[in-house]
Amino acid sequence: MTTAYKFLKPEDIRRLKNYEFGAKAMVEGYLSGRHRSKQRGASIEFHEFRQYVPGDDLARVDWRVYARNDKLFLRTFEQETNLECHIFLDASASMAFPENDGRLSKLEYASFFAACLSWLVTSKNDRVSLTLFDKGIRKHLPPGSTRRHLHDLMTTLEATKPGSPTDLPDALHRAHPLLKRRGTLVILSDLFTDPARLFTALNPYLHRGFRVHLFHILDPAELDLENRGLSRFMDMENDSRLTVHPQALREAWKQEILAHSRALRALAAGRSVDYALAPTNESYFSLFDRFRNS
Amino acid sequence: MSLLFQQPWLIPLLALAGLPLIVHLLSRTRPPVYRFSNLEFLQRVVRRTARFRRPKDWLLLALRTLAIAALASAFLGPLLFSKSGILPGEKRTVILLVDRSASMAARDGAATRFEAAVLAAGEALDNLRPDAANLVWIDASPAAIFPEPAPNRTFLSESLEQASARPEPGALARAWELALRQCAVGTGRKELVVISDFQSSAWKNFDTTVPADVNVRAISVAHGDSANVAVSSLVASPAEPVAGQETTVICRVRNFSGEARRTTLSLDAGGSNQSRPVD
Repeated sequence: MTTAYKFLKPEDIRRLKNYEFGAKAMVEGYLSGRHRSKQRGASIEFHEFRQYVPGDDLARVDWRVYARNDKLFLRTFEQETNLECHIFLDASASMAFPENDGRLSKLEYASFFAACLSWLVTSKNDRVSLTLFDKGIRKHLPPGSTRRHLHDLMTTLEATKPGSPTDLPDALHRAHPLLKRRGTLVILSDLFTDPARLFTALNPYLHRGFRVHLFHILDPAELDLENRGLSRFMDMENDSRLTVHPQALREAWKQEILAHSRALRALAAGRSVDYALAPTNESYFSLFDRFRNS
Repeated sequence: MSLLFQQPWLIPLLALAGLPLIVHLLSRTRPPVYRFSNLEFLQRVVRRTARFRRPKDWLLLALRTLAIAALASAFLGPLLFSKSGILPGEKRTVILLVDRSASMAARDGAATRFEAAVLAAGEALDNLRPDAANLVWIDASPAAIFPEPAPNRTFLSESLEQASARPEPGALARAWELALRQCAVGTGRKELVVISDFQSSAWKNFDTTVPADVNVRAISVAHGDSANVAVSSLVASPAEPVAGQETTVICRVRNFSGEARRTTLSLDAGGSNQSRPVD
């Protein structure tokens, strides 16, 4: 596969290939699930005959058996469970932080991870979808597993610019009808939102059996406020301003962020949602390890 | 109590007291802009900590302002003075009104009241350091040393040292009037220093009203009330009796002290002594 994509570096692909076990476990496990399902469906692997009951699909009736026995039987097959991976990427204005600082912005960091994850999923012929959101759904690429789909996904990531203010719960609510099949939902966001409201919005997904990974992406400067002297802070999402001395607020800020993270973690634990704080100065491959360890 | 400055032309320096406020406002309005991902959380933190920080900020601003104001005031040379104080460069005229009537001869301990009055007058001249001064005696015929207040304090001091109490009553009203006239011709800040034993018979009902521009300072040299009793009149009738002629002597005794006293009057008339207690 030619990888001239910004967010899919050859060295990352090489490294992902080494994630054979991890990738396999992820893809064959809950993420894509090639294992056989208890559900019966259409496939090439025959399972058994079953007597027809009203409501069954007549297309699945074995007419040869009916000709011989005058009874209606259905051929059932093992259904290959191709659970899908749905990447939910926050493309709001706040994800552009930090600006002009030589460091990866949160959006770039999340895009690198999304690109690698997409490659990993499609390399096993499983399907991956991408939903970009800010205060609503900005773009949705339906699940796919082809090279063309992966190309579309990469070019979409590269073309993505930070947009409007964030409203993750609303975006989740709007995206719910777009995800036809259950699968794994990977949310990449800075999660500056009310935890209770977020998990309320996740409830429909959890009820449908989605496996949810919540990756809380933050820049180190957001974790402990850089010591930069008196500054006029300007909100990247709504241009509101606040003049403060970060040094005076540093400890209180750390406590606030930690409390927020703890609240998210506690709510996630109660709903079997995987939550991870992902500082952008740490390798995003540590997030793949979380899939393996899940 | 008033506040004046020795270098009032430096008063614009006080405007520097506004400097910390200006710096404070400038630093509030012109810090570098820092685009941050989320202010909602930051505002929450600010709200939580503001009630602790805000008084600290204002206290710091107040202390800085006070420091600048104090520095500016130091350059200005602040001078706190009361009504008796004197402004820098202001002229001062002091009139000493010193009692040398008979009661001042009374002794309070080792020294007479007059000696104490001379000492007090000398101290007043030394301490007040007037540009012009004069001395008015309270005696039977009050007079001033100089026709009008003069700068020669040395001569006044010598006059004080050479004077003594006189066995005569003091013409207080005339002396007071003379002292006020001396004050009137004086220049600058005018002070009338009255040094006396303030015996009640003379001062009790005396009107000590002075013009508004004259500051009166009273120095009492009496320590307690002395036995100030005197024969104020003595009349014999007939005035020149012959031998054997009956004579009536009428003696008036006055108590100039503030409290009732008992004394004994003795009359020696040609070898005949008569004594009588008087209350």
